[in-house]
Amino acid sequence: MMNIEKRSLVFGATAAIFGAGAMLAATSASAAQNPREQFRKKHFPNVPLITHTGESVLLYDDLLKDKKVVINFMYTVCSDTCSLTTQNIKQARVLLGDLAKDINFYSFSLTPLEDDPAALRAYMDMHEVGSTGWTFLTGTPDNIERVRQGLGFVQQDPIEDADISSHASMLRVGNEKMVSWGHASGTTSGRSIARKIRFEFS
Amino acid sequence: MKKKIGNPSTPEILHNPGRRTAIKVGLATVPTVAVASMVPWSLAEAKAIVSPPTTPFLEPMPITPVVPQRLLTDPAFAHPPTEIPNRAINPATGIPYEGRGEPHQFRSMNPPQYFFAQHFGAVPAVSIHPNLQPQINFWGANLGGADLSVDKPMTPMPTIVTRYQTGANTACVVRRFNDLPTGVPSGGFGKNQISIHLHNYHSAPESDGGPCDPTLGGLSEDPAAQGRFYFPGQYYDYYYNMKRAGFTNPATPDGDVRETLGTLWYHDHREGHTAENVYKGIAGFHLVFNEYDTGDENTGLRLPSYPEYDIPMIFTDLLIDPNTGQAAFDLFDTDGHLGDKYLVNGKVQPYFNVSKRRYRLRLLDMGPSRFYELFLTNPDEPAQSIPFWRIGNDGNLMAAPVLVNSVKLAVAERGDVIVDFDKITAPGGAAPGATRLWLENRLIQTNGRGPDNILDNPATPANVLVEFRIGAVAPDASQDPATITSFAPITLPPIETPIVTRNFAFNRSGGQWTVNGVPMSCDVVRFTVQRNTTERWIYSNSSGGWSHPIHNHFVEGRIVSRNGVPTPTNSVEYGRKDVVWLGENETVEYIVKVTDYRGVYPMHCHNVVHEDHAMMLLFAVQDVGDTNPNP
Repeated sequence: MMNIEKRSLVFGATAAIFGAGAMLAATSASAAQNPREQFRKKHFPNVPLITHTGESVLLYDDLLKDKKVVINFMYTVCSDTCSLTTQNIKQARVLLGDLAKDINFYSFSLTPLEDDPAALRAYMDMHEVGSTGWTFLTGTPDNIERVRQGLGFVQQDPIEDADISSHASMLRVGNEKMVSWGHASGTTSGRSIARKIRFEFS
Repeated sequence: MKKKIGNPSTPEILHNPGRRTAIKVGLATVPTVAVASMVPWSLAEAKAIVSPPTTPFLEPMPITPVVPQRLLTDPAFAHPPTEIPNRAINPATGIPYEGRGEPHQFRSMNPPQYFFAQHFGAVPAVSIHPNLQPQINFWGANLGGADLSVDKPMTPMPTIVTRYQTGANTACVVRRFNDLPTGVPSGGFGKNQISIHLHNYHSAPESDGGPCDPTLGGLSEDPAAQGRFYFPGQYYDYYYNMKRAGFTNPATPDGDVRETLGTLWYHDHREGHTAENVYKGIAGFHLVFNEYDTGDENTGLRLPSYPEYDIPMIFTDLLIDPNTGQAAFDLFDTDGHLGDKYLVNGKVQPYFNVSKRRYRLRLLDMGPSRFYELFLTNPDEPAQSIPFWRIGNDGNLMAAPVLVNSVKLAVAERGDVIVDFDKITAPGGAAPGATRLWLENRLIQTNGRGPDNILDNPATPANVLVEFRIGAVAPDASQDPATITSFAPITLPPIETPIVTRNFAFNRSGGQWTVNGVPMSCDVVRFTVQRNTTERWIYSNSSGGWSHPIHNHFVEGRIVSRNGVPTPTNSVEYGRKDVVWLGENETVEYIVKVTDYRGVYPMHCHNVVHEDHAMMLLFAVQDVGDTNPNP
C-alpha cells in the first residue's frame, strides 16, 4: 500500500513538470476506484503455475487478463464429482459450438503434489478431453492454495473446507475485462452448463 | 472419495456428529487448513473491512415517491402494450423491442386499464449519509419519464400503487425499460440484464419476473429468446390483472377476497446475479389497496391513511469500503453478504418526525442476507418494553391484530405494524413522556449464513435503523387495533386437504447451496403441481448453523406446523405467508393451494447470495401434476 502511494506521489510530481504525465497520474490516483483493478488485487494473485504441457504461466497475466474464462478445480484421483463435472464441461463445450472457441477453460488441480503435468495429461486422455482451449493446471501447493483462496473456491466451515471434494463441483464463469462473474454447477448437465455459459456471456 | 488439505493428523473431526462443536474444536486447537492461515488472499481477510464511522440521525428518512399513471398517448407507449410480446427487431439495437417471450395469460378477461412506466438506469451520485462520500455504484428506476437526466433513476425504487376493486376492471401494465449502463459495472458488481419480480403477487409466469423457463425448448437456451431477463435497449410489459387468486373460477370472477394481497415489493431476479443487482438498489414497494384496506382511515377497515400515516420502510445493510468510500460487494463470497451500515429508504440511520397518533409502518427486509428482530426502544429508558400491533405478515393482513414486542424478519419478509405514538408516550403508556423512540435490530448476526439467535442489549446505537422523533398530537381517524377483532371479509381461507406431500431439504453439498442435494439448473423442472389443488410441502434444514428464508413464487402457503408443533392461532405465523424463515435444524410443514395460471415458477432461498449460488429449483403448474415426494 505504501509503495503504491509513493509511486503515485512520484507520478504526481512528474505530472506537474511534464504535461504528458498527467494522464498517468490520474490513472494511478483513481486505481482505488477502478473496479477491475480492485477485483484483480483482491482475487487474482499473479502466481506462476504449470500447465499440463509443462509450460509455466502466470495466473493473471497469462490465464485471466482480457479473457472469457470457465474455471473449475479437480484432482486426478477424484472419481465421482470431478469425473462428472469434467464430462459435463466436455459436453457443454460441444453444445456451445463456436462460442466455446472464445472461451478459455481452466481446470486447477487441488492435489498439486500428486498431479504433475503427466498425471494431468493422463486424466485428460482418460476423459478424452482434447486440449484445444482447455488447460489443466498445477503448481506448488502454496501457489495453488493462493489461487483457490483468491478465486473463492473456499468454504467458511473449516471442516467442509478441508474436504477438497467440496471445491470440485462449482464453476466460475467470467469475463475478466468486463468484471462480470457468474457461476455454474458442474454436476448438473452439459446442457445446463452450456445454457448458463451462454447466459453469462450474453 | 474425500481428501483433506493440510494436516492429515485430525481425521476425527470429520466424524464428529456435533457439527458446531466440531467447528469450535477445529478453530481452537486444530489447524485444519494449515496453508490458509498463511495466505494473504483468504476471503475471510478480504471481508474484514469496516465501513467508515457515521453519526446517526443526521438526516430525515426519505419517503419514496409513487409512480404516476400514464396515458397510452405517453411516449413510453409509442409501441402499444400488446398481449403478444413485441418481438419486432429494433433497428437501433438489433434485438427485439421487448424482452418478453410469451403472451399475457387471461388478459382478455381483464384488459389493462391503467398504465405505468419505469426506466431502469444508473442512479446519479447520491448521498446516503453526510459523513460518507456520494454513492456511485447504485442502480434503480425512475417515475417513467423518457429523459433520465430529468426523471432520474432512484433507489429504493419508487412505489407502485394499484387496487383491487370488486366488479370493476383495475388491471394494469407496468412497462419497464432497461436503460442500465453497458461496460464494466460501477464498483465491479451488477449485471445489466434484469427480470423484475413482483414479489408475492399472483402472477402468470410471463409477468412474474422469474429466472428462466426451459419449457420454451431451444429458445429458452438462447439468451436473446429466453423471455425472462432483458437487455439494455429493451422493454418488458408486465401485466397484473388485479384480481385475487381464484378469478378463473366462474363463481368468483373477482377472485376470493380471502386471497387479498397488500404489501408487495418488486426486485430484480436475473438468474445467478440477483444478489448483486438487488444490493445495487433494484428493489421497491408495490402496494395494493382494496375495498376494505382502502388507504383512507375514514373508510373500510380504517387503517392509517396512505401516504401520510402509512409508511413503507425498506431495510438493507451496506458495507462501505473505506478505501473507495463506496458500497462494496464480493462476487466470490457464496456465504452471504453482511453490511455494517443500516439504511432505511436509502439513508443510513435516519430520523423520522412523527405526530402523536397511529402510524402503519410497512417493514421490508430487502436483504441481501440479514435477519432482523426489531424492537421499539426508548433510548432514554432502555429497560422499558414497548409493545405495538402486528397487523400483517408478508403481503397479507393477518386474521386479527396481534400485540407484539418485536418483529422478526428474514430477507424478503414484510411486517405491517401499527405503532400508536400517542398511547405509548401518554401517562400510563409504555414509554410515558418519551420524545424519541428507536426502531432497532437486536438480533446478532456475524456472518451471511444466518443469525446467531442471540439478542443484543437494548439501546445500542449501532443497532438502530431509525429514530422516531415524536411531535405534537395530530388528529387520528384510524381505528385502534385493540378494538379490531377481525379484518373480515379478509379472513383466512380454509385449509384444504393436500393431495400430495413433497419434501424439500435445504442444505449444502459440493460447496454450493442445494435443494434435496441438487443445485439450480435452468434446464430442469423438478416437479409439477396439478392446477387447482392443494399440496403439503415439508421444508427441512438439517445443516446446523445456517438459516434460509424460503420463498416460492406464485403460490402462498400456510405454516401449519413448525418442528411438529401446530402454529398457535395467536401466532403472527398464523396466516398466509410467502416466505418461510427456516432456522437451524428446523422442519416446517407448509400447505399451498395453486389456482389460475399455468407455467413455470421458482422456489428458492431468499438469502439472495444463497439463491444465486444454486439454492433454487423450478416447478411447474399444469392441468396434470406429478406426485414426486422428493423433487
